[in-house]
Amino acid sequence: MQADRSTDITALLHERILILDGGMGTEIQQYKLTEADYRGARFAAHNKDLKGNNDLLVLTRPDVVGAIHRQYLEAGADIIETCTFNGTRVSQAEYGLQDYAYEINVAGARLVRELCDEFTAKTPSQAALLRRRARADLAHAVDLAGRERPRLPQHQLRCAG
Amino acid sequence: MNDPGYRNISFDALVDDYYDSAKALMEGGADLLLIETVFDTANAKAAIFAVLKLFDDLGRKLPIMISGTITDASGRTLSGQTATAFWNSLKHAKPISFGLNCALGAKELRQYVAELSGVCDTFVSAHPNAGLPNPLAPTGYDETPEQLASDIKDWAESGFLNIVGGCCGTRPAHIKAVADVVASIRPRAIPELEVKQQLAGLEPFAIGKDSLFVNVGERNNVTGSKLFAKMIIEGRFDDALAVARQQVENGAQVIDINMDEAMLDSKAAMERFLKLIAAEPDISKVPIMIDSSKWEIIEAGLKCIQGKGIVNSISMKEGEAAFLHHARLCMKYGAAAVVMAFDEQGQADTYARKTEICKRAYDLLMTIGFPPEDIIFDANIFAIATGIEEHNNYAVDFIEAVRWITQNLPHAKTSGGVSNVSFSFRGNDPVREAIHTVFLYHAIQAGLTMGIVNAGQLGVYDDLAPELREKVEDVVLNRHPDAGERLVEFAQTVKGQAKENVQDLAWREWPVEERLSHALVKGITQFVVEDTEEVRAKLFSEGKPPLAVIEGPLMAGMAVVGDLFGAGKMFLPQVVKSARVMKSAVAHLIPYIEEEKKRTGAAAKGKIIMATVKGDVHDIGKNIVGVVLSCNGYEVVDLGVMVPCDKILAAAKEHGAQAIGLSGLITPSLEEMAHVASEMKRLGFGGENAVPLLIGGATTSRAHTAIKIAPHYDGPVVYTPDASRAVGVVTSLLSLEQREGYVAEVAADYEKLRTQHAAKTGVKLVTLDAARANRFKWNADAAYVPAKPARPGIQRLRNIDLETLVQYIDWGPFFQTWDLAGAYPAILEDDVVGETARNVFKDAQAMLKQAVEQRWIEVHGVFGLYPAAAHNDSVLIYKDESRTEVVAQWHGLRQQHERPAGKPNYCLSDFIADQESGVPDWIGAFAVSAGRGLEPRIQAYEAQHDDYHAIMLKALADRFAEAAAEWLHQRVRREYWAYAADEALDNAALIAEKYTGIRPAPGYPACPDHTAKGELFKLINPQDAIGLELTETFAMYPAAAVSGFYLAHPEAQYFAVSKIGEDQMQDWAQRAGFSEAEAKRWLAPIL
Repeated sequence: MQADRSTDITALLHERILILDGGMGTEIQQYKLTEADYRGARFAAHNKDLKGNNDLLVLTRPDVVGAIHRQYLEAGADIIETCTFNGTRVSQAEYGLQDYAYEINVAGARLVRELCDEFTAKTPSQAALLRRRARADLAHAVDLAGRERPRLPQHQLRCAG
Repeated sequence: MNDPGYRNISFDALVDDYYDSAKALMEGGADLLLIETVFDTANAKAAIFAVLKLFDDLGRKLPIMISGTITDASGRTLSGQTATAFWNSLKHAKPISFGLNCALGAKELRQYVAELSGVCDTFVSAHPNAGLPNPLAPTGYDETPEQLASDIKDWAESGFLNIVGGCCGTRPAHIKAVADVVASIRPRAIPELEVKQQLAGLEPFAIGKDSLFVNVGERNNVTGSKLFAKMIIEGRFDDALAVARQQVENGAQVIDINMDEAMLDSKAAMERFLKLIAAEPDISKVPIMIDSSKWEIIEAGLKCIQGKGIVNSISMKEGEAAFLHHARLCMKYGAAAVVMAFDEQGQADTYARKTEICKRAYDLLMTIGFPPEDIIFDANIFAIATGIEEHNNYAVDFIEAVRWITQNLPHAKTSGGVSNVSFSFRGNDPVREAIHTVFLYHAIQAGLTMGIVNAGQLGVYDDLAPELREKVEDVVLNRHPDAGERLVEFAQTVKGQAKENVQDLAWREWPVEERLSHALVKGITQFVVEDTEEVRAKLFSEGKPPLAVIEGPLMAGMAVVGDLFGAGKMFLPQVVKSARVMKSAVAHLIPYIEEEKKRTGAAAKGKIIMATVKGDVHDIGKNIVGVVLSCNGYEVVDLGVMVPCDKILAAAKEHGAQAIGLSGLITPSLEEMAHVASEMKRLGFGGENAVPLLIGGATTSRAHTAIKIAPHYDGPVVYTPDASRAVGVVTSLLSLEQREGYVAEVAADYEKLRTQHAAKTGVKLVTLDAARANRFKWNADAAYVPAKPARPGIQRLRNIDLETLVQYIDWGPFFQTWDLAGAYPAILEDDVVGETARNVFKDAQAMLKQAVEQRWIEVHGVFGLYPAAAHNDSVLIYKDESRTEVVAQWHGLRQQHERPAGKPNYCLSDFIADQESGVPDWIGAFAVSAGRGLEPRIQAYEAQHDDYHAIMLKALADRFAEAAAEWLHQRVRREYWAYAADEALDNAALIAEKYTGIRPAPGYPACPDHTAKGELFKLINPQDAIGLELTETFAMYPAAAVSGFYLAHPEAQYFAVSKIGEDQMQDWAQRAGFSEAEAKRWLAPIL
């Protein structure tokens, strides 16, 4: 288990404006992945469509997710978000993968951890950090709100992150 | 799902899910946990609860980042909270950063990031989308890296940011561009904020040391209200919601909810009611107090509220361990807590026990890091005058305990259930109310923060009948051993007597016409709709049309108002309140009138078009005139501000207007009015049956109207100095009998003015050369060396602290807005207008407080200090100290009238060192704005026919703009230019201009040329810096703004340029690059 970096982060925040990374969904789109990519060998026989489950790529196409993280680190990001913003059981249940949620989160974090360590070693001044997305799927947010709000266009509702 | 209380995933299930996710991420080596894209705060609270629980279980913490999402231009989260309410609800997570992401692009998100940067005492983050969604763009978003970076640069420079990135549609190139632009910009410094109890419903609610007493609504309590209990037991939840709504409407700032009743499944009832409330924005805008003697019910309630509420209550009655367990849970759910003065021995009844228990509880809470501002002590209010001697001092014990807590337990708040105190007088409401009133009066003085009360049943201490008050006070303060007996005796005589406000309602027994008149004069809207309807129905049964209600009783009532106003017995603020009543009555009648019109085709009394002319945005006076006219039965078509001439005249034609009213405040508007007059002539509005033109506004005058406007039009042109005259003028002009005589009278008067003007030899002007020869010499004192600014260049000050500015407000002009004459503060004691002035001032203070607390007003400033030199009455402003590149020029105007011996012909450029002298000198330029974001609120008031508050808000915004100019000038003198670093002046001295240096504003007498604002804006760019625009005639928009120059010369002073000659006009035209015709137009008022 690595050291707690919170003191370093606070010190850095006093010193300069830190940079977060950018969209993940948009970048994944560029790879034009197929259903087969999402499934990989491991979920080839899964009984539900998995295309669009971007979080699953940390298990089935870590090369793609890792390449995107790397691009953001090269662009100057100090903080990298793990590709786990639908990493809750509730969200994964839509794909019938609720039992893999835990594994996805661990793998998503490890992937970023390794890259960040690599970059930190290269440029020690740029402490690359890791964050998570603990966001629940919006569908639940709406239900939880328990109230009618004006409907937004679908593309605005969905955060592709 | 018809029942909005239903939720398909429970708080507990969410907590479990988030707990596991967070645990897995920590196992994978995460450094930070980000809870982002929060649409629903309740969801985020579950995530926070999970993460804090995980930290406890692991014995290890990570910093938490939180980022919410404002879903649309309403500025609210999907679950309806404002940005500040959202922060208040989640700050208990003590996040390392708090901010916003997704849904909006940077442009739309800016104001909310600005808001959070002002209220968060932690780091602020933002990661916007690449603009708004564009389904046609390949990634769904089409903002380029450069566009995004340019917006982010502005945010960073404005000091909003500590962490920045991108959300949907942003790509590595965006992040690189953003990283590049912010690399050299300093991060936002975390502000030092006053420690307040920061509660929230959908809206924020903060209680600080200067907050007024907070009313907690008591009626949603099954143990205290039989009526409410019955509703809940019978499952009439809609009725129960109506009770809650009514409490909020009646001014409850927090609502207490208690379902402790043996006949109920209290936990289920609490959950159901809270979820129903969540679906009612009218109710859920205020924070909730969850009230139960059972912790499991409180905890069930905490899982249902998205805002930051209050737990009522926790205590040490089951020992320290249970107390701290409950307190820790309050911290995890994010709630303030009422702490009862209750320990293992029981409830505290004496002062000694109350203070001892509260102290012990406070110290214990400090050991677990409970935020002291979130502690609310309830030191137990017990019944007095019970006939038992030990009870006599209960009220005093409570009040003194409150005083002790306030003084000795830092930031802790106090509360109590007020109704208990008068329990022995139940059945005698007048006495009970008197006891509550007196008790609260003393408890609040001792520092009582809040009370659980029936807000509708509180009296005013000063209004209590003296004998009753005296007797009650004896009991409350325990001043005589037999005070209780005496009050019981006296109570028999009071019993059944009508209570205070019932006496006030005696007028409700009057005939309906008199009631309407009374309501109009007193400005009471409460009954006006029912009374109007009563008259309408009555007249209808007599076969009279609905318009007769207006022409009859309503106009009669307004005539009384008009008479009182004309006689100086009523004043504008009251008249505007009367107008609100009238508008409500008229609004009720309009559907009937429309109906009637359809049937008969009847005509209105007269239609008047009103507008603030092109280039001008000032409309307070125009709105007041509009209100008064419409109350007098005229139909007013208000075209708003900045209305071009063709639009005014087209509307006049379209509506068949019987008169046109023009308003304006800045001097170029005077020219525009003359232009409208000449267009009216050209387009045939004049001649026989001419449409009269009314002229009003602060810079207009009878003489100006007669000399400069009336000659352009072949119809009546009448100067209308204020609202009280407007009705008379319009009535005369539109009356068949009076019109001819009136028009002739005005024409004769104006002709006389013109003759006098022409005959006047006028001021004698000297030539421009002679005036220049008699200039003020900047270097007359040979020892004078211009001071170099300590911090030259441009500076932006965003979100200037409103509470600071309040101290810089000059209230004098505020009363002028309301046509109340007199100097502040003497005006408050004035024999004639004092009472009105006090009332309007009181209302202003109330709104001011709300505006400051809820940040209705945002004040921003930008200024720059530059190298400068004077040359031929112009000031050359240089880019930098090399003094080679001129970035702006300010073309001054020189006094040209003959001056007494020894007095110079001033020009503002005289206060800057001449270019030829080679002495380096400096100048400043500034702009402040207090008008951003006000418009929707003003429109909301106007939509409710509430011009009184609309005008009030605009007047306050003006005061803030002026206060900001004063404050900024002081900071510049002391810190930025620092030529008066030691200056120490109070506000009165500042208002009296006792400082060195001046800040002349274009458009005012020393610089009557409004076009100077063009150069000024070019220099410091307030458009981009603070969103302040300049109209084509150089008015600033939004209107609550001030801009000008800083001159530091020790002898710099204000003066009036007044009149100038042709020679100077030509010289100025050449310097400023205008044609002669243009120059004549801009300088018309001084030619």
